[in-house]
Amino acid sequence: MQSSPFENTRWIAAVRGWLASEHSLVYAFAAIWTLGVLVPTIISVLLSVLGARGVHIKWSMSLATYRELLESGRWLVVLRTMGLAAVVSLICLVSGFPFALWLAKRARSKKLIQLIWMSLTIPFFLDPSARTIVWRTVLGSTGLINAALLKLHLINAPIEWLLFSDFSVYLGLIGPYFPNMVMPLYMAILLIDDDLLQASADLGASPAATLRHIVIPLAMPGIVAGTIFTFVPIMGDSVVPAMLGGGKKEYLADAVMSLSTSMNYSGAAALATIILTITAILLPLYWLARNRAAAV
Amino acid sequence: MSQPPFSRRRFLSNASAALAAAAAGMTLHPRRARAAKAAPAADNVVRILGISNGAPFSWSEFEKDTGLKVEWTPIGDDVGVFLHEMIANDAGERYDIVTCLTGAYEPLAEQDLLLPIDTGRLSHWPGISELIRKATPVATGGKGVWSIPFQLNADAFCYFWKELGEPDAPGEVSWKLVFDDKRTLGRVALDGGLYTIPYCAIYLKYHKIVSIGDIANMTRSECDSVASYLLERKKAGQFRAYYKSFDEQVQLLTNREVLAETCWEPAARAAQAKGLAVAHAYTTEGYDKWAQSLMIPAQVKDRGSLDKALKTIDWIMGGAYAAEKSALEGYLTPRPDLGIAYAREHQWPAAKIASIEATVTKMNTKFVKDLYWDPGYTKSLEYYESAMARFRS
Repeated sequence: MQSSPFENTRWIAAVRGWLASEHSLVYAFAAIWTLGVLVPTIISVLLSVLGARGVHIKWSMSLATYRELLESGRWLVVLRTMGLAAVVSLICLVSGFPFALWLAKRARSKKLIQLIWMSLTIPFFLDPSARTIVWRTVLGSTGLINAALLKLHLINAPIEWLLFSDFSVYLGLIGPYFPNMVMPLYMAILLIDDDLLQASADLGASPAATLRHIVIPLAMPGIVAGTIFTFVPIMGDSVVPAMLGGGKKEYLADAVMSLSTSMNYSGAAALATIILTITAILLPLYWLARNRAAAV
Repeated sequence: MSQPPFSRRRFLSNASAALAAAAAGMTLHPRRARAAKAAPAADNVVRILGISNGAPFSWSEFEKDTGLKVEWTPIGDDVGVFLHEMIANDAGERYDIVTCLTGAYEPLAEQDLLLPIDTGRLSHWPGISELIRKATPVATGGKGVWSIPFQLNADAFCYFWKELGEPDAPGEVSWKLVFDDKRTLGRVALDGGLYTIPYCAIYLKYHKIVSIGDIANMTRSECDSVASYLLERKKAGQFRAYYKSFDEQVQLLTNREVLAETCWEPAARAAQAKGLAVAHAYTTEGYDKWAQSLMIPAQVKDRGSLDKALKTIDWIMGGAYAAEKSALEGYLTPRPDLGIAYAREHQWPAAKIASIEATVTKMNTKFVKDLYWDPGYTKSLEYYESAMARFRS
């Protein structure tokens, strides 16, 4: 049955009214977030305690999956991955902060700044495998570095640890995730009023004191954002550890994939739940530390 | 009757499983929506969900011979992913033929998701060898077979035979070269997935280092024993890398990162093509013998696509397909005799004909070894996965 034009008008007016209300965007966001993030997360947690083999679900609550993860040594994978993400994030922060500071406050040439920004965005356009595999030809036994060192008679045999080692994994991760750290740092530092820096200098503060008491506290939102943008994706990186680490050590993404392909979905869900729990504990601690640092 | 481990009916009637699928980013379409998407019967297109390297370079000869066309949707060799497609995602609604490792038929047949193949309707069936016949699972009640093997091989390892002073293939070498040899210390690559466990089990079982029953269906303690041995060798520094893909297998050889690695035969061929003295081993102990098989989903009969599915399977069993796959990848096919005849009839170069003939030699040497037939599917898959995780942790 066709609705009357009067009813249509009322319906459209109601939708318009709802869209115009200040809460509509919040409701829409909440709905999308619930459906896209919250529901899958809850299901993941449920799967980890219900237990599933293939597409068959056991209808009894149990912590057996977590016990299996402990027995198989998978808990080490979680710790190892978090350690890797933390160290690489720290390296990116320590090297990225002075770089972002220079870029935001000292670099004068617009062309140079544009060129740097272009260079920083390159990793986002490259396929992760393509940009990683290049390192193999550089670091391998017959790669560029070993070939050059042998040619110069600086070594007698190829340095094996250059590839398929922790060193190559760290090296391979720093490049692609460095921009993730620098971009929020740059934005945060750029927003610091130059007059504040000048006032600090006028009052006799040394550059180190200005950095400690003015720049770092005011750049803290960028530090937090940069750390999160670096730490979180490294946790899920499967390409670099596999291709440059030679798969010698298992990391989180690899473990989840391995459990999934062997149809052990509850194991994969349990691993994801452990990460979620650790993140849920660490994140408030991190924010607390950030607020305390900003208050100093 | 005991409940099968994977049950589509239970799955579909199970609300939590539907939610689980949503969590994994999948959508469970209602039955009606699927029917609308199902492969149409009336057209002349055969839809195949098949192993990535299963399709020939060109289907033109097939089209000329049968008047049919093929739509080949590639899928990896992961049995878990394949079973998920078939059981949870109702792949039978969309495909006329599916392919997977031989053992995958078992959970599918248990749930009536496969149609027994009437071998009487396949013109190339009567000439198959005893080996292929044994690798073919007979359907319940002897009414046909559940699947037809169409690509077979015996996986082992590659090695730089000249550099190691070992015989070139077909001279026999031991798996010791991979797992416990001073000459290859720190210069061995292994499969990063589960296959390393059965590969190592072949060596350990043959030499009675570890007591193992059926390598294809090991117990938890047997898997653990294999993992313990591997860990010991890992601590000794035996292994350099663990690969994930075919490309990595090739690169590890061509960049000379390793002296030996567990690998597929095409990887050895790729290295040989670059002039490297690499051989795919004829081993003392045994092989991972596998077969990719063609299966017909149960739904095919209802939508009237059975004739074109059988016609396609019969063509794949024929000479053109056999000649191409054997010459290119070294794979054994159900009728290598037809492959040789096809190559001769089309005046292929002698070297290519010889490589097809070599698959017959392989059938009579590698496949006769007791160890071991890999069905690709085992109900104790989790033990293998867990053991591998322990080894790599």
